[in-house]
Amino acid sequence: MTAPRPPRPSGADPVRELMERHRDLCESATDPLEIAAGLEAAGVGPDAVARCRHADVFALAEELYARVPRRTADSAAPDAAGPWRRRAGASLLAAVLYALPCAAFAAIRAVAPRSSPWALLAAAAVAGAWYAATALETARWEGGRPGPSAPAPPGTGPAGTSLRAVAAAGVGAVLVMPLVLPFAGGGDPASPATPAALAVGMGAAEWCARWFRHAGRSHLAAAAGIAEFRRRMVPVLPAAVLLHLCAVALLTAAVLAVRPGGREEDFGALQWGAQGAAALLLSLVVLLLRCGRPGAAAAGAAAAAGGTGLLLAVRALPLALPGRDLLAAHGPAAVQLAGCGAAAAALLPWAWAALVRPGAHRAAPAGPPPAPARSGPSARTPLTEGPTPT
Amino acid sequence: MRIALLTASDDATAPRSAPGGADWCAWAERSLPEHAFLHPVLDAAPAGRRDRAPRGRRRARLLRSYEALVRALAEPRESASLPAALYALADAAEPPGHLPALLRCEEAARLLERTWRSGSGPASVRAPAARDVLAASDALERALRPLAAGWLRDPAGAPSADLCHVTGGTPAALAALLAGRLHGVPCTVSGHRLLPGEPPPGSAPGPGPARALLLSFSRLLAREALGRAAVVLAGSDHERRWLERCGADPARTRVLRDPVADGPRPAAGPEPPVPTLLWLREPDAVAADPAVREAVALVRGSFPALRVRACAPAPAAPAPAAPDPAASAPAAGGPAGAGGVPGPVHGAGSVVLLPASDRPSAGPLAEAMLSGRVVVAEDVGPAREVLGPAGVLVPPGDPQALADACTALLRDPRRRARLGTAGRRRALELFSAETAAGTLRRAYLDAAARWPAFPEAGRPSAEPFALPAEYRSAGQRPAGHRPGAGPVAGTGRPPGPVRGTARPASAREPEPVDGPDPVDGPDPVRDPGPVRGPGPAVPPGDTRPSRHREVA
Repeated sequence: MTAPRPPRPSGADPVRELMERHRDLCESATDPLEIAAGLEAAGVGPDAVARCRHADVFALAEELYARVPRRTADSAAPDAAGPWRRRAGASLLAAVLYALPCAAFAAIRAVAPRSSPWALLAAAAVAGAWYAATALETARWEGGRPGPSAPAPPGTGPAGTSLRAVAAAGVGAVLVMPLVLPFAGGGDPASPATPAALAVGMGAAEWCARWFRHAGRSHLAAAAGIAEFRRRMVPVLPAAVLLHLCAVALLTAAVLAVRPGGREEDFGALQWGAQGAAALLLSLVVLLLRCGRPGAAAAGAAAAAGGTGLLLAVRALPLALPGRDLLAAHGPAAVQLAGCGAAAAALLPWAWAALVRPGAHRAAPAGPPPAPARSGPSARTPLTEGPTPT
Repeated sequence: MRIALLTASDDATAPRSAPGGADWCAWAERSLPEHAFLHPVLDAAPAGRRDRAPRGRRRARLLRSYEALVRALAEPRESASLPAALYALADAAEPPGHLPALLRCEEAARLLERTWRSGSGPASVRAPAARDVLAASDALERALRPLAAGWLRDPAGAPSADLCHVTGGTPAALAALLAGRLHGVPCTVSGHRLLPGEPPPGSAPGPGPARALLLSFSRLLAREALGRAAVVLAGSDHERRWLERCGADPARTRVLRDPVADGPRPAAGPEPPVPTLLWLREPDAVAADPAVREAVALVRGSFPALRVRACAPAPAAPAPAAPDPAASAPAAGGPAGAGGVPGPVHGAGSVVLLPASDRPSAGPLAEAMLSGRVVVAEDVGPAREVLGPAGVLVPPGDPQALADACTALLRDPRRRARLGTAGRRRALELFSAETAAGTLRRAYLDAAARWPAFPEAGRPSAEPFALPAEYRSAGQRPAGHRPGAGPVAGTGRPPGPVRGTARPASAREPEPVDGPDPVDGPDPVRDPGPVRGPGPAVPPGDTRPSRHREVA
C-alpha cells in the first residue's frame, strides 16, 4: 500500500527541473536507456514520472535525450603527481648504486696495488653482477609491474621478465667492459675513473627515462590524434639521449680533471668515442626497458656484449682474421667503440620507431584492483551521528 | 542436457543469489539434477610475445571487420552491422593469439581513430585525443578477448554443450553469441547484467569519449544477445520491462525470480524492546542518503528512544545449520544480536527500512520480507511488484512520507505484525525455490526444443520440432556423438529439487500466524528502553556482529 501523501505544488515544467538536476547524465548518455537507468538509480519513481506526464521512465528518458544536446565529458586529468615528481631522488639513488663497484675497485687498487690480474678480473665479474642486479631493480621502480587487469603494457608477462633479465645482464656487461678491456691490452689495468663516470651516468639515464615517460604521457593527453602525437614525440627521444650523453661527457671530463696523477694523454679521441658509444647504447636500453620493449632492449644489450666479446677474441687470437690488424693497431678501446657503436647504431632507428608510438606510453598497471567493498565491514563507512530533530 | 553457465571472471561482484552467483549455481545443480552444468573459463589469455599479428589477406580481412565494428559503434545509422562485423571477426580469428596481437598494433589504432572521427554518434561528439584512442583500443581489445577463448574452439568446450545460459555481463553474452554462431548452440539469457546501468565491459576507461564508445558496444551487444536468445529470463517484472526495452522479444521473455526462499528460512524472533529502525543500505555508499537521515530525525521527534541500525543488505547464508539465533539469543542485546552465529540480520529491527539504492534489485527486499519484519521501501525499481500489498511503499526522496510511514508503523504493533507476516508469506510464494526450478526447467526444455537460436548452423536440431525435448534430456545420442551426456538421466530420480541435507528440526517451526505473538513484547512507545548512547563495543576482529552499527 502506498502511504497517503499530500499533492505537491508542481512547477512550471517538471521535465526542465529534472533536466537541470541530471544535466551531466543527459549530456553524456549515448542512449535514452542510459538516462532511464540513471534516473531510476537517482530515485525517480513512477510518481515523479507521472508528474512529468509520461507513461513510464523510458518515455521520460527519451524526451530528456532529445532535449539535451550531447556532450562527452573530458577525460580524466593527467596524473600530475606521478613519478615525474620523484625522479631526482630515484636517479641519485641509482647513481650511488651504480658507483659502488667502481669505488670498491678503486679501494682494492689502493689497498693492494700489486694484486694479481686474476683477482682484479674476479672483482670485475662481481661488479658486473652488481650492475646487472641494479639495472633489473631500477627497471622495476616505475612501471613494468605485471598487473592482473589489462591493459598491461607488453613485455610484462613471464617472457617479458626473462627478457628484462637478459637486458639487465647486457647492461652489466657493457658497464664492466671498460674495466676488463685494459687487461687485454696487456699493459697496466686502467684506473676505474672513467668507467666510474659511465656508471654514475646511469643515474642520469634513469632521470632521462623518467623525463621521457613523463613527456610521453603528457603529450598523449594533449595530442589530438595519433599523428599529432608522433609529431610531438619526434624531438623528445633525441633530447633524452643527448641529455644522457652530455651528462656522461661532463662526468668524464670532471673525473679526468680531478684524477690524481692526471695522465690526460692516454684518454684520447678513441677513448672518448668508446665512452660515448657505450653511453648511447645504455641510454637506449634503459629507455626501451622503461617503455615496455624488453625484447629490443635485450637484443641491443646482448648484441653489444656479444659483439665486443667477438671482436676481443678476433684481436687476441693469433689467427689471420680480417680486421685484426686494424684492431691491434689501436688500443682495446677500439674494440669497445666498434662493438657498442655498431649495436647502438642498429638499435637507434628501432628505438626511434618504437618509442614514438602511442602504445609505448601506456600507463603502467597500478597494482591489483581494489577489492570489492561489498564484503567485510571494514569498507563500510561508520555512521556517527544522525541529524538533530528539527 | 549439458548447460554451460557463462559468467566472466569480472562478474565476481554479483550478488550470490542472483543468476551466476555461487548460491544460485549450487541451487541450480541441486534443483535440476537431470542437467549437467558446466562452468567454462571464458577469459582468453592476453596476447603473448610469440603471438604475431597476421599478415597479408587475413590481416586485411580482420582489419576490415574491425573497421566495420568501430563504424557500427560510432555511427548510429550503421549500428545494425555490429553482429555481422563481430561474426566476421570471429570467423577470421582462428589462431587465438592473432586477433589481440593485431588489435595492439598501431595500424588498428589508426583505423580506430579514423573511423571513430568520421562517425556522427554520441561517441564522436568530441574528437578523441590520442589518449582516448589508446584507451578505447585497449578496452576494445579486452572486450573482444572472448572471441579468442579456447572454450569456443575446444571440441570438449562449446561444441559439446547443448545450451548456453548467459548469467554474466557482456563478455559472457559475446561468448554465447559466438557459440551459437560457430556451433549452433542455443542460448538462454539471464539479463540482469546486460542492462544499461551496468558498467561497461573490461576496464572502464573513465569518463570521456572512450567510455561512450564502450557503452555503445555493450548496448549493441546486449541487444544482439537478447534478440538471439531462445529464452530471456528476467528477475522481476520490472527487469522484464527493461529487457524488452533493450531488445528482448516479449514472447520469449519470462520472469525467473531469484530462489531466495531456498532451504529453511525461519522468521525472525521477537522484536527488540526498543523501537528500532533497521536501515539496509549499500555498504559502499559513502554519502548516506540525506532523505533517510532527515526522516530518521523526524521519527526521532516522536520516539526519543529510537535506535537506528545500518547494515548491508547482504544475503544470509543459504541454509543456516544453526537454529534461528534471534529466537534463542536475546535480540534486545547490543548490535551483536546474532552473537557471531550466522543468521538473518533483520530480526534486530522493528521496522526494516529499504531506501532506493543505486542498483535497485529484488534480492534485498525478498530477504527482508522473509524475515517476517515489516518493510518500508521506496518506490523504485522492482519494489512495487515485490512488496505489493504486504509492506509500505513511500515515494523516493520524500523524508516526510518516510517518517510518517515509520511513525505509524512504530505506533501500531498489530499492523506491524500483520504486514510482516503477510510480507513473509508473499516472499515465500514469490521467491520459492520450487517455482524457480520449474521455470528454469521449462525454459531450458523450451530453448532446446523450440527455439534453435541459429537455425543456419546445421545442427541436428536445426529445424524446429524436429526433435522432441526428451531427446536431449534423456541423454540419447546418435552414435559417436558423445555417449553419457545425461549424467543422471535414467536413474529414476525425481526431477524435483533436492532438499537441503542439514536441516535442523528446530528450523521447522510453524510460521508465525497473524497474531500478536511476534511483537507482543513491551510496547515500544511507552517503554523507554535503554538509555540512548553508543551500544556495546564491537570486537574489532569479529566481522559478523559489526554488521550492525548504532547511529546514535
